[in-house]
Amino acid sequence: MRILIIDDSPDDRLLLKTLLSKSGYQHLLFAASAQEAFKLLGIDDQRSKTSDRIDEVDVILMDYQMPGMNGLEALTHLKRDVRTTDIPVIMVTGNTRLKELAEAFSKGAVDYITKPYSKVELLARVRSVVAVEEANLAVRRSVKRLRDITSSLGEGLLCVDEAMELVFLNPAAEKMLERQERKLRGMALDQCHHFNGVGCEQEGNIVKSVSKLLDGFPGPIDGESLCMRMEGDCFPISFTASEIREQNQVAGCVVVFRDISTQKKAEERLRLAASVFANSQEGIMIVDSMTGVILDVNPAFSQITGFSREEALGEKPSLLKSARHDIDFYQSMWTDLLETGGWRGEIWNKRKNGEIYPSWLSISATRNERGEVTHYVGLFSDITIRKLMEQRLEHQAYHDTLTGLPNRMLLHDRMVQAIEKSRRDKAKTAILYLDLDKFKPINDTHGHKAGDLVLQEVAKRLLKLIRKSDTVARVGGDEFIIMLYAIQQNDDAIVVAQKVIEVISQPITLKGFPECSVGTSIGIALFPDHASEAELLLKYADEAMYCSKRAGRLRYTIYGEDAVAPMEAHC
Amino acid sequence: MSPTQEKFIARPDPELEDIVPGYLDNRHKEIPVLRDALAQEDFDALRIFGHRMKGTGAGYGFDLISDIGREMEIAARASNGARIAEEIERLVDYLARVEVIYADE
Repeated sequence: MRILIIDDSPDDRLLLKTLLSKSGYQHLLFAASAQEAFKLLGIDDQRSKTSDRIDEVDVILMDYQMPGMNGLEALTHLKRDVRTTDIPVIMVTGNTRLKELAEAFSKGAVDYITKPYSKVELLARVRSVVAVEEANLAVRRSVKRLRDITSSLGEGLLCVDEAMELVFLNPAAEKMLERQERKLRGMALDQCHHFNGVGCEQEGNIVKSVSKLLDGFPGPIDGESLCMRMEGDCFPISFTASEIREQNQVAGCVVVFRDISTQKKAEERLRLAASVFANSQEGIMIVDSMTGVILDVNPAFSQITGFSREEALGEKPSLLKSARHDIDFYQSMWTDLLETGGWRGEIWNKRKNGEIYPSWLSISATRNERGEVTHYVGLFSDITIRKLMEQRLEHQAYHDTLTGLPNRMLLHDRMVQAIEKSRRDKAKTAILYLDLDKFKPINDTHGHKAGDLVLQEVAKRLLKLIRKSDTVARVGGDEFIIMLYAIQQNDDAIVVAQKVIEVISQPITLKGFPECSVGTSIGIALFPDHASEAELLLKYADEAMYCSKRAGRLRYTIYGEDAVAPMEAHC
Repeated sequence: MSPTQEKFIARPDPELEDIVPGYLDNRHKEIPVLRDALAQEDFDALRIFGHRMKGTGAGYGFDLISDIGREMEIAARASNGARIAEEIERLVDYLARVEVIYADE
């Protein structure tokens, strides 16, 4: 226990030092004046008034009459300063005038001692004050310990007394409520704006729970509620309220509460994710990165693959594997997954019924807070219809819709390739340009439907005449082109031309129409004899075809030669 | 000190044995200071000296010093130099004749 003696008399200081030290008070400090005492206490500088209570001194004995600032003025100064206001002061006076004593007590003195000192009185009074101060010190230490403990809590903690008035808030509570404890201390909890604002009134809130506990309801009571900030917006909290009992009577309540905004948001995100998972049109599977087994699948997974959730769980994704991809494909997929954490692309999978189907698969690795991959999430959609549409569109771009034969664009492409290959193989490629004879009268007489059927029949007959390596294309209304690839000699083209003229001239029986017949005029151009480019070959074959037309139809003409009518008998 | 004169017996607390000689010595040393203050008619200083003696004397076991101090303080407040001179002499006399006996009360 540290005692500060403020007395201008050296004899008195020495006397007190002797009497007190011989009675066991070892920590004695001395000041010869109020100013010296203030300096020793560190309160002579007004600028540092915000610091904590001074713990170096526990009790002050101060002479009433001193030169300069007297004891009463010094007492006033000590009590005004937050750092020394709690230090008990015993006034020492040579006079026992009641007015002076009353003034000293009104200024905050706890006791007085008269001079000259009576050892018995001195020690009795000091002992009494010291005992009280030691008790106060123990309480302050206990409160400080409690505050230190509760300060380290991340959760808010508040206490109310039996009248439901706030008596304690820890720093976390002060932060959440945006109010310091001293501003709320003494306020009734049910008057506290934070717990009674709009949106805070639902059943099970803090005020109602505390009220029940104070009425004797056994705690603890757990609940969730809303807490209103000073600006008026609310945030969710969870709380546990418990009663404080003293001598078996409820003496108050302690409420531990925490902001659960983040938890609520996370729950909302989880609900949303669960909804997406359940309702997604894409199949989703979640795979354990360690074991490689499927942990969960969504309804769309079952819809696409045919495997129920129960059938899929515990299996490996290879359950869906088709034989369309080689080992390199899967190795490349895993390399991408491990290096970039993701993979996406087309993959052919197998349904439960064995059907192979194309799917668009996107795999993502999910990681824990340490960055370790914990799961793989695969999202896939069945792209069978899309693939069919793409194939159809591609086919339409390169084929004649009426006959299904390659169109001019595809023919050109094949001609370029054929010429290139023939050049390498020192082979010939022939282009036979066909224009149907007597086709227009069928259209005019029987209509376009009949004309279309004729064209389809012609296409069929031409396809039967050629090899797989050859090409028949429809390049105009009644114009067809045959590309004969890698023929040995020009006569090979002539043979085909003769057969074509013969086959096309055969009568055509159409369902629902009278029998009819058409003929054809053919122009022939050859690579490398006539040209080395596709465009020129087509041009020359076309010119030769017109020669055949001019010569009387149903004949063929090799570019640069005269027209030949091998089928005169059929005309 | 005259052998015919009566001694003043003082019985301070034995716990004060270490500091009593110093206290009495200080009072001896104070005599010329008091006389000088009186010569200067510094009644304020004399009042403080008187007040201090009043407060300390009995505490050290010298009730008469407290009594002298009280009278001196009153006289100083009244600027009564003659009475102060008497009290200084009373102090001189007391210090000359006091005998200290340490014994438990």
